Amino acid sequence: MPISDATRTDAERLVQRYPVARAALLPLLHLVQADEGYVSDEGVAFCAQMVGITHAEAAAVATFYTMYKREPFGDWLLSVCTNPTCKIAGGGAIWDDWREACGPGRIDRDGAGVMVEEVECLGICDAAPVVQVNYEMYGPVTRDEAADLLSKAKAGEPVASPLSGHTPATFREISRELSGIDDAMHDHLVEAAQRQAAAAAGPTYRTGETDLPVTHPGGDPAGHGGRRVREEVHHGRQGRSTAAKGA
Amino acid sequence: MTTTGLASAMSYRCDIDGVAGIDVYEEHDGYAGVRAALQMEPTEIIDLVKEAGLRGRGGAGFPTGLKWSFVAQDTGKPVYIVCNADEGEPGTFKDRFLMERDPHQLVEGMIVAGLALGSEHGYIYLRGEFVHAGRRLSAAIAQAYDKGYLGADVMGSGRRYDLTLHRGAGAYICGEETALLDSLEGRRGQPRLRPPFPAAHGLFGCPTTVNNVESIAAVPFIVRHGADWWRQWGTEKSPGPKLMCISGEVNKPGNYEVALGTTVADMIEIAGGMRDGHELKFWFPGGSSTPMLPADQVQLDYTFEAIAEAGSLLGTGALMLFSDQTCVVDTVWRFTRFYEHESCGKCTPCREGSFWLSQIYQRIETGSGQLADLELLEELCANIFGRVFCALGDGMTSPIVSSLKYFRDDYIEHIRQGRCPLGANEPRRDLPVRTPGMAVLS
Repeated sequence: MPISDATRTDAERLVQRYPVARAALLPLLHLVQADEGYVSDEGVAFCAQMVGITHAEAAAVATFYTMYKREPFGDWLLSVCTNPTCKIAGGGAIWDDWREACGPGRIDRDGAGVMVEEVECLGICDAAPVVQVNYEMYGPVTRDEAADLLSKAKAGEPVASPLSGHTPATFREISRELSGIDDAMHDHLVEAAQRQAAAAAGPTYRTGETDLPVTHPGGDPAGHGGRRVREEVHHGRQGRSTAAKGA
Repeated sequence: MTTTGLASAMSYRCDIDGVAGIDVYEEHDGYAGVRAALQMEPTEIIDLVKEAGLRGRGGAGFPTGLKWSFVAQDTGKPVYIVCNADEGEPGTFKDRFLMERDPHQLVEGMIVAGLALGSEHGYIYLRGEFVHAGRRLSAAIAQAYDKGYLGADVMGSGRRYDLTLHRGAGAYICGEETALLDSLEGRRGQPRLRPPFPAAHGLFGCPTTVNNVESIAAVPFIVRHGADWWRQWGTEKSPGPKLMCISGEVNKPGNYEVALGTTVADMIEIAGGMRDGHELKFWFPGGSSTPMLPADQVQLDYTFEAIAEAGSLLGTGALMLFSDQTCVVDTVWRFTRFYEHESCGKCTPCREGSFWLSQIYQRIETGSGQLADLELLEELCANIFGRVFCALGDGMTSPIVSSLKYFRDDYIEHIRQGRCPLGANEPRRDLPVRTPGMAVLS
């Protein structure tokens, strides 16, 4: 499935917010996840193209972070913490139940589609055991309540979180929120990024360790805001050719 | 003698209805810290934070004012303030709480930090999974722009300050400050070799300070009320109030603001005591990366110096309390799996060591351990501690080494019986229903 035109426009906006294009990579990966429901190879290539790095480098980032899902599963991601405080309060048993319900693949594509996962400490240990539905938090939950959250999600009717008061958005919707694209301060950030990039000794794209410019063929193609990338995207060129031009 | 016990210095707004909105926040002294900071020279702000003795609240306890004074000035490069909001140390839940309840407090602290360091731009690197905190912060930042606290002309002062909310994507290692900077630059979150330190060469190669949420949120109060006010709580070396995350087998787990110097026993009382029929057995003073201590040490004053003297660390202020009904070995095994999962893979001792440690725990906990395994665990830990790139690897060894020190008999019992005496990994059908402390958000 090709990346939509709307996503391309949004991606350009995200890149503009940073004085160095590559800094937009994590938000961009959330954005392509919002578009396709997971981070596809095509999504990775698109992000690489947007910030002018190789596909391999973008893929290295996409596979490093747990919130980028590399296979489609549907609308609902259910997570349970099994770190000690949650585990002894019932998180371990909830994980056993969910795994049993969804099978060894941990994905149940019937209905709206759910994936279950065992996660590390969610930072809300006073509500142990804690589970999440698309990152909306619930706790403390009993095993029955956890089973109910799973079946309601499967039916496409998720329950509101008593902690936040919010009903979980779909995985695509929450991925969009995580990209920050709809945050209100866009114009201010673009202006700030342009000012910083224009400084005599501006932000640079360097490895933190050697103080040497990055030597892979990408670098930061536009100096700021992915301007050249943006033009090339509009002219329909491929990521490779963008990358080869360097900075 | 200073005050101990519960404090209400920097969390008092958290229970006020609607304080996440800027109007209510302003009614409760909101942005008074920015107003005060605008009347001061940047160096005066840094000196005041030094004088107050604020120590970083993210785990290491490094003096915040001193850290700020290292940030290179007049290099011609932009200076960046980065807030580490990637809270993930097991047992820690204070930053999320602050950001959800009182998000403007962090925004205000970021502006004051910017004024102190001559920075025009701050980044809040927020843990991705904290979507509710993200919503609250995003709305707060937008409101602060609308009201002129952020932007090209901060409160008519001619000073500029912009603030970016940047959400992570799930990686505990990004709480390590140089890994956070790499992540923020769009890379895998892996720690950097130092020097150069971020103060000279941080975000985008520019002078940068990275501070924890609670540290930054404390600064507006110090600027407004002065160093002596801050020092009315705590001790000479550990001044101030601290947000304590008290969790585990207590009656009222939750966030409590407590003066440093309060005893751990008093904190357990504050959290409602241990649950009925549960006797305290072991506890972690400040998260899973701090060595555990046994029940007979609860009379310790909760200060950096006293906890260090007892052989542990204050860490993030995450006090985790476990009873005699919880298996020490299984608890440590689960934490070891945590580090195994979160190891970034950059350096060998951590990447390989976490895997092998986890394998050894599996065989001990599931009945095929041998006595020689205990020495093997210690030897592995000795080859990890101090030989790794960052604190994650060191932290991994803390629960292992400390549990072998205090509870070696528990390990031996596992090996002798060929099973977990408490059946920690057998299915349990009789799960307790727990009462949350302050977890309810709104």
